[in-house]
Amino acid sequence: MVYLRGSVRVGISGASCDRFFNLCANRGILLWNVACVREHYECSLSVKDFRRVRPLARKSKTRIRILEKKGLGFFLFRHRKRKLLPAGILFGAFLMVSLSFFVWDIQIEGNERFTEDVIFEFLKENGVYFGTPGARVDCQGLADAMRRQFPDLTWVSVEISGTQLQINVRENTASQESSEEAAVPSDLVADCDGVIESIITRQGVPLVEAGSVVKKGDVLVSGTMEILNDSLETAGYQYCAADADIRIRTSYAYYDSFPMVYEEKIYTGRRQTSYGIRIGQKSVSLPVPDTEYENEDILTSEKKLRLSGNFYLPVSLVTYVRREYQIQIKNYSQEEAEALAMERFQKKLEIFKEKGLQIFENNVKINADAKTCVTAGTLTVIQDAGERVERTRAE
Amino acid sequence: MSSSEKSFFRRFAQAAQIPEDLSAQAVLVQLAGQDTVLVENYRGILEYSCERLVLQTKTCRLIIEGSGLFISYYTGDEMKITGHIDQIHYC
Repeated sequence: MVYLRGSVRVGISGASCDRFFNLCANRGILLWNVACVREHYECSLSVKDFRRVRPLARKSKTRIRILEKKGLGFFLFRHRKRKLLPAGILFGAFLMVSLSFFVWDIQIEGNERFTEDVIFEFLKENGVYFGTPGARVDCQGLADAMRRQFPDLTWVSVEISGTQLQINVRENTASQESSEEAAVPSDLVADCDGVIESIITRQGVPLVEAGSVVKKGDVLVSGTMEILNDSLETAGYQYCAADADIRIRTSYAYYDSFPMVYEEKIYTGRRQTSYGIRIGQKSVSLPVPDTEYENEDILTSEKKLRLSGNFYLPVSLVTYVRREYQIQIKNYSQEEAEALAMERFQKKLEIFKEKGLQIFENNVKINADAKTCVTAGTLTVIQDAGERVERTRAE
Repeated sequence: MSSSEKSFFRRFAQAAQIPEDLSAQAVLVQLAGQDTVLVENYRGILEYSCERLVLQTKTCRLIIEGSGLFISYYTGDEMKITGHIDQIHYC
């Protein structure tokens, strides 16, 4: 506030400076930062008061000298020849304001199955992309169109905040199991060789029981039901879609191998960082003399510039980091190879377990020699069986 | 003021519950630590140097002695003195 009005620092010297202070105080003039420096006094007062001070100085026979002039008025006067400075400031402000009317960033959240590219394509078709004026984006209309185009989205919200377009979606995560178990007559057939572990029939006639040995292709549950009349003779047939939970014990051959010799990337620690700027779609990178690396990794990271939380600019800072590495040829030791083979095997087992397979017996052996490590053997598992085969109407 | 008048004013001020310092026209001195003094209700400065500040109040004189005495602000009603303060006495 004081800076706005302007203030002056003066030096006061003379016989009765104290009288001068008292005169100022009586007239209501505020003085601050009063100091006693060697022979004279210094103090600060506002420009308005300074104009009134001359007669007082005369009265108290003191001499006033201006030491410093502070204030917006003085600043503007000192720089009055510099016209471009305020012009530049105004232009900068104008640029910022006008940029804020466009969309410079599109943020999509909540999508799992739908990739961002799919949604971007859709936005492009509807005329919304990087650099569109914000007023032209119809959020409500866009949300409705999205819901119509992608029926799997249970919730869509489109909004613009700042220069950022935010799209939030929720997908229909319930698994789309086709419940078209219409009354198509069908049998359940074994899809592998094995021994039936358990069978629970819901519909149809079971042709096997626990303990039966079956071969691939054998009918396990038939969809043809005989209708018996009073004298227990077959009067006709009724067809249905066979339905049962069948668990079968079967065996798989497991085979996995990898070489004992492998290449490892060892980063030497030498790296080179260079920078660039991306405006819109064009990017420019600062030229830096490239040091030659025999083998290198290039890591590119991009950071979008923004002024405040949502005010994104169409400019992003790109950082390229080149890291040198050397390839070293290494050998697995016996223990390392076995450990790695076990790890890979465990991963496969996990996948089996997720599919609902139960491991009954494990005959897998790891064999590591000089050149390769081989994991082989048989796995006896219990799994769901029963492949649906439609009954062809022969009649 | 005669003693009877003084006591009448005093008694009146006490009855009306006017704060004593306002009614008694006394100087108000607020100290904060050894380096800040706030003085109100004085008539003027008699002497001021880096080591000594003498103020004239309505009833007596106030002398502040120290080193590096600096007046942060000074108006007709209030002033603030900073610096290293050694002594404050009245006379």
